[in-house]
Amino acid sequence: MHALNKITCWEVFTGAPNYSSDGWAFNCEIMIKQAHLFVLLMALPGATAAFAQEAPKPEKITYPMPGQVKTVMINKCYDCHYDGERDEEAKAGLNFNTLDQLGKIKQLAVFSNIQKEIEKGAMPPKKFVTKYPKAALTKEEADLLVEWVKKESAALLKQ
Amino acid sequence: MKKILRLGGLLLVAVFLAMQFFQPERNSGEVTAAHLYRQTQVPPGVQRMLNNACMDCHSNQTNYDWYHRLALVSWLISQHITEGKQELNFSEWGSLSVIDRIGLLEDMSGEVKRGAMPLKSYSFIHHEARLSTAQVDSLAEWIRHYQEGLLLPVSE
Repeated sequence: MHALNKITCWEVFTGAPNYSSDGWAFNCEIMIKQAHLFVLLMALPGATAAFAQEAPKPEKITYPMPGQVKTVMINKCYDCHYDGERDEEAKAGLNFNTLDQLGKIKQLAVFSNIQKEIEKGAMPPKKFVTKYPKAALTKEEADLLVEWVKKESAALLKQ
Repeated sequence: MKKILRLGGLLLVAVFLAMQFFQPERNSGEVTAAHLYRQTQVPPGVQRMLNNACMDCHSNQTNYDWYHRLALVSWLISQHITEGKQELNFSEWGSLSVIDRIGLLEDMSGEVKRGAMPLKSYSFIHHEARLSTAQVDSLAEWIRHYQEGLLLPVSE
């Protein structure tokens, strides 16, 4: 029999005393500490990556567009223009989840609206930007989106 | 007390009369070659709908009623027209790109179907602007047909 302050690891994991033939006992306090450290070390790289990437967003914009454009769209537009948005008007104007399924006319109309709204400085809406200043489009980002929309519309027209 | 009320009343009348000297510019331009009707063949029925429900605020030709000359009303109407023309002006249709025309037509179809246009305040006064379901459908059908036609010359 082992000492009272020492329990076997078998007992820790099964709740039942270990009656192994040799009566071999572990100092489970040490083992548990080691196990905690091991788990922490294993989880550390994943946690660090998650913080560095700020919760990676799944591939929800399926309409083909250059990476830079997509990054701006995801960071500055997607949160109000997807299936889960409650504001029907925002979804009616642009919904990234259905954009690639629309016909040519509707896609052209969407692109025309994107260009107009950005050029007017109406998107993202002023109220939203006041609340979330980081949501504002920089001049470079606005130019990038407008240029892409123009090219994409012209290409669609020629198809 | 009566004297104060009388003076107040007179002052209000004087202010109202003075306001009549400050009238906004009237929206009564000439129909040019850039007008929608000169750019494409619009069926008479659709033209009637557009004239009755849209053109007062979305063109350079507003049909004014007598009360539109009264200040306050005239200012309010003028503001509506300015905002309406900023969004869509059929008198300058010819200056728009094909893409913008398609986009505006799509917006127009959506707003009319949703009942957002014509404005409730407008159709309340202008009975002829109240569009029936059949009228909305025929307008949407014309829009779709026109949009497809706009794509053709580019595709060819």
